[in-house]
Amino acid sequence: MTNENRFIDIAFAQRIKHGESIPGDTFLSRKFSEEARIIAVLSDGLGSGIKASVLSTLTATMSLRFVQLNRDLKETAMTIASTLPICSVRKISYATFTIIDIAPDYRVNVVEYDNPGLIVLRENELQEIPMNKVKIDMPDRDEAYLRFYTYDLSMGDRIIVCSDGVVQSGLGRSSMPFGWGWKALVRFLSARIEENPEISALELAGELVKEALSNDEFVAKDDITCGVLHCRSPRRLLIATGPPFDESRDEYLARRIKEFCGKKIICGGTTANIVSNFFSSPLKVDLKSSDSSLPPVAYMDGVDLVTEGAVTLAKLMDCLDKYNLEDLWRICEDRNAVGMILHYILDSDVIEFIVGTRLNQAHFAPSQSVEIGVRRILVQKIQYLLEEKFLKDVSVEFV
Amino acid sequence: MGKRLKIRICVGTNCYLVGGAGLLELEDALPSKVKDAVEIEGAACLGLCKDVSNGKPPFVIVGDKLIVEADMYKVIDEVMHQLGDNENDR
Repeated sequence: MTNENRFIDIAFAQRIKHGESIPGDTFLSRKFSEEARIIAVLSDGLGSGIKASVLSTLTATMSLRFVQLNRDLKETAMTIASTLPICSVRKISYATFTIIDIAPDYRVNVVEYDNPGLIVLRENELQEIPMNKVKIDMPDRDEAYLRFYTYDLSMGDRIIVCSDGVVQSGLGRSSMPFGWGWKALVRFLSARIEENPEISALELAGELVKEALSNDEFVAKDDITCGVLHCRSPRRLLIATGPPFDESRDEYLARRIKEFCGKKIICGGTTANIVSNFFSSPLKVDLKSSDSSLPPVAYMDGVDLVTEGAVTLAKLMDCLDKYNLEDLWRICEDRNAVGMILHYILDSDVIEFIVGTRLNQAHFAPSQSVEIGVRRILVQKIQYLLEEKFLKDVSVEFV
Repeated sequence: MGKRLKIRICVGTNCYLVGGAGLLELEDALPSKVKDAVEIEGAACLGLCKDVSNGKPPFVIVGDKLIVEADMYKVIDEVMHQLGDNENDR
């Protein structure tokens, strides 16, 4: 079983309680690349609004850190409970949590405190995960339990965690007097996955939150939050830019592109011409895809997209640097080179760059007034942004 | 109608940056009477900028003729010239 072929797609969706401006639920996730470990936490703070937000943010942040340091979970729960500020109305401090800890060998450890039960779907079937219930002494609570789950993650598994705002949505409606309920929610998830087996974590979380909101007749009665972790094979993208330093390596470059399993993009006219010759497939430039700031894209058989190099990559880097994910999804709709590359990037988990290091004499003409960053520096900056800001798995090969 | 006159505009980095970007609107700038007589296409770096003896970018090829430091006037001029010549030949 090779670990490199597995990828954990993590996303969450959220709706703030009607009338509040910030969420009282917090979902955090972190990938620790050096140890190939993933930790995700969902916490729901007592009440709503700013007070609940402080409680859940503190709880999520602290528990993520404690788990990363392998602290005892019972102790962690109690430390958090005694650290949280005390609610002035209810005179107690309280926030629920679910911590999901995925080890490099795909052993999953989950600890749950008062959140709706963890959902694990394998081949779209609900899994019964053995649970270990442990009583803990929490301040201000008569009976408090931590629920522990341990199991091995399989390819295709989905772990879904949600706040009570989801399970209790629709509460009081004649069709669901006690709210939507955990079982109905699981049926809903199954139906969505049945319809679209490849549904992404983000889409599934989004659909669940939308449904919960509609149960509440579009006026959220509580914060509604859902986190999804999906174990699947990674979607791969290859971006080749620049001709190889030595012309004898041109063939190697063309072969790498041809044999690559995944989506393929070439950034750079010279590079595209080299590959076009090797593939014997002509380039077709789409002049309509140009705008005032970006050269047009081109197409050729065997490659998903061809763009110009330096200007396009510089603009791409700029976008990745300036904008957040939500804005970038909007930019993706632009029918220009950057919009199209971005769409492929956001849709991929593993991104490989092949960077040719032959200097382009044309870019050193003294007449050139626009500064063109050297390809190598551009790609390194893009790599940094993709890894740090967008959690992509990026590798760069120089040829 | 006979063969259309082919116009190839280089859209490589260098050409694009030193004026080629503006040339992409050539179709709108051409006199309407010749629009149907030409075929405009982009070329992913013609590679001409790598040899100084070719002259300076941006490069456009009209028919068989290379236009260096191309701008809208030069290209339209050449198009009109070649189309006019063809008519004289007939």
